[in-house]
Amino acid sequence: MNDNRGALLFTWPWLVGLIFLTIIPLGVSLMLSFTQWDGFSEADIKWVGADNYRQMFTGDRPANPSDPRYLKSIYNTLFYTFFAVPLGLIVSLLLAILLNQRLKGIAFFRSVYYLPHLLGGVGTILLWQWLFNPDVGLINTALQGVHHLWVLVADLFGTEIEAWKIPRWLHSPQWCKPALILMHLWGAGGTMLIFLAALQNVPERLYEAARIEGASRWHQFRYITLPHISPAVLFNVVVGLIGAMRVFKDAYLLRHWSQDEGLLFYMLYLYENAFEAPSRLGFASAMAWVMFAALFGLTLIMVVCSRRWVYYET
Amino acid sequence: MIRRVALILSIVGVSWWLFADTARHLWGASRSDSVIRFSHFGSYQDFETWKQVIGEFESAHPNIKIKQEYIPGYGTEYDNKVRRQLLAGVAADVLMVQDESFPHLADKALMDLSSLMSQSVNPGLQQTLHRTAIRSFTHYGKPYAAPLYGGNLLIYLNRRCLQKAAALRGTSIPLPDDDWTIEDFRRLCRELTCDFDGDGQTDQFGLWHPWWGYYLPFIWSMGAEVLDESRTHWRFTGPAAQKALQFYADLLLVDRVCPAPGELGQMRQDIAFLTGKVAMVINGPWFIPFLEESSLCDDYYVAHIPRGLGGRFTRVTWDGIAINNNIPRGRLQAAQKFVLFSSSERAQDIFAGSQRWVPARVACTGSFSTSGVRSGVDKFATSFDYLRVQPITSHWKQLDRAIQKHLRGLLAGELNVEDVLRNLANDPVIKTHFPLQ
Repeated sequence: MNDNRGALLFTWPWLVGLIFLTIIPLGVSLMLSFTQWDGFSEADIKWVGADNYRQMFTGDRPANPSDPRYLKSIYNTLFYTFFAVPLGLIVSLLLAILLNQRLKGIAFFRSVYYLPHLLGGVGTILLWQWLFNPDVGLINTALQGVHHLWVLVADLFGTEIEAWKIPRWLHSPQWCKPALILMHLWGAGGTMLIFLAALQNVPERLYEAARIEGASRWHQFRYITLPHISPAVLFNVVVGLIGAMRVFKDAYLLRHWSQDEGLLFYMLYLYENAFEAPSRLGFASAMAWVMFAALFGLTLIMVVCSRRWVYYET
Repeated sequence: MIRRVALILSIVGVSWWLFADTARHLWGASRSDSVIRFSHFGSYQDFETWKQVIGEFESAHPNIKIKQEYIPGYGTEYDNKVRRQLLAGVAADVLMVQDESFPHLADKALMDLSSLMSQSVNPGLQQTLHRTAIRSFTHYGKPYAAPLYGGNLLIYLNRRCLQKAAALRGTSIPLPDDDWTIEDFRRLCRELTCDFDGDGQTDQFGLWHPWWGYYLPFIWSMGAEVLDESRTHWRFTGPAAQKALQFYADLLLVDRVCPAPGELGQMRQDIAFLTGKVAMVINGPWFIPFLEESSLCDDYYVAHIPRGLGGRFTRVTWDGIAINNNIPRGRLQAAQKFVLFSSSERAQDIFAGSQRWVPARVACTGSFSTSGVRSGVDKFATSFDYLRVQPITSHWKQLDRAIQKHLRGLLAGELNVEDVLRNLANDPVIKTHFPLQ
């Protein structure tokens, strides 16, 4: 009993925060998702039942015909998630394997690769904006160099090469999302660190035994490393998926350059509905709950499926 | 016993630390009724101008203090910030508002200023203001904001570009006269577009291709309209609209006098103009202080909007000052005094002197002209003869988005003018909110 009292004493500020800043706002947003409200006066709140949800799924949008943007935001978010999450995992895992070697000065390299994760923020996004500048950005300057070299080599061998267009990155509806994925990969240090920790927990004796049995490097990775780091893989997949589906900051800062709403992601559209005129707080709340349901469902599926491939050492 | 007291004290301390500010906000009078919070947007020049106005107000009303809350950024950024503040119940007592966001805020978040506007200094505030300014802040017949100042669109010309183009062509290119036509404008755009080194790439463009809202003066001057006077019906159809839209596309695609989107990288129009990459830009008086502080201060010129078949029009946007509907009654009188002072001749003269805006008070328009030292700057005041308010509606943002979406196809050369006009008229947003008459 005394233990409980002590625990309550130390946790009550957090509990108050949880109740007032999380649970109550969650309940209010759930209630708002069944209403139509512009956010100014409580007297204007209009109960519309499941209309906001219906508008999202049926395409019947008498209240606001601009809602085809909702589908666009879903497409953009799925596109980003589909490429950013697997690529992010592969790059981080490769980096972790690389940095798990016993080399001189490895701590320095680990810090270097982890640094971008620490530096992430508005400043770096604005820096990337300049890197992606189609005319004077460093990326295209390098690509132009490669292009010239390619033409030169082709000329030397007298072969005709097909001209390729250097991407216009954020200015192009096709390339703006790949540009964001590239930015995401730059910050792979956080995921890499989790993989690195998992790799270092794989017992060395297993590799020794495998080597004695004549297992190749690939077999060691496939049958020893991968099962042992599978809990970390699961964790990174779940966290990566949630992060990718909620992508907002990058798109919000860079959307001015994008054409054809190529960077209109789900969360950005939700934000627009909630806080930009004309405000539709009810619709935005419904969007938030749909996103929550989608993420909850996906996480549940992954956790259930993980029983088949995640290995926990007992 | 000591443990119990320490426990209670720690609980009280933590509670105070966590909730005192919230409690003060909800139940307590955290500020004196003589302190008024005022939020505004703009550049740092605007901040300085407001500081001066507030200083004079406080000298005239020593018992009232104004807490100046400067929200950096323009347009959407300010609007979004204020909306979030209003949602959270922490918006300032007195707010600056723009005509674009005004219809969304008017009867929801702002106080009806009817009585204030009519009780004003003799012969009444309403009679001393520009008609378009009053119209911009009237919602269903009631004024919800007092107009402060506005800006109309004219054409800025970089004289250095003119000289370079003349040198290249071996002939003099005169500055546009006050009565020039759209054909003269097109000719000048072509003359100013130059490839100095002969490498086939344009080194100097004649014009920065304007956003459609900045192109509105040309649409009107060519006899077309986007919306009708009541701003409820779509009017962008017919031969005049076709001609206006064709001209808009031709500037970019046929005459090639404007840089394509992204052709100058991420360079914005102000820098493109300053560096001589483009010779002309369509912009408002708020561009003047930027140029005055640049190396181009002696080398720019302001020209009128050219005449077309429909006459000559320029688009004006207005900013106003409003009172938050949720202001505590104790602070209302002080807030009203500040709103009235901002609309007074003294404050309006200060705004005019900053040369960023033309004051809303007709009598102070002269102060704007006399403050100008550069040739042509006074045209921002004289062009008030052919002013027109932009088609602000409560669906402005959706309208803007829809128009931009369809224009993109035209400017990419994928659609022709007829297709775009048809698509615009059939766009779900336009069909719903602005049906054809």
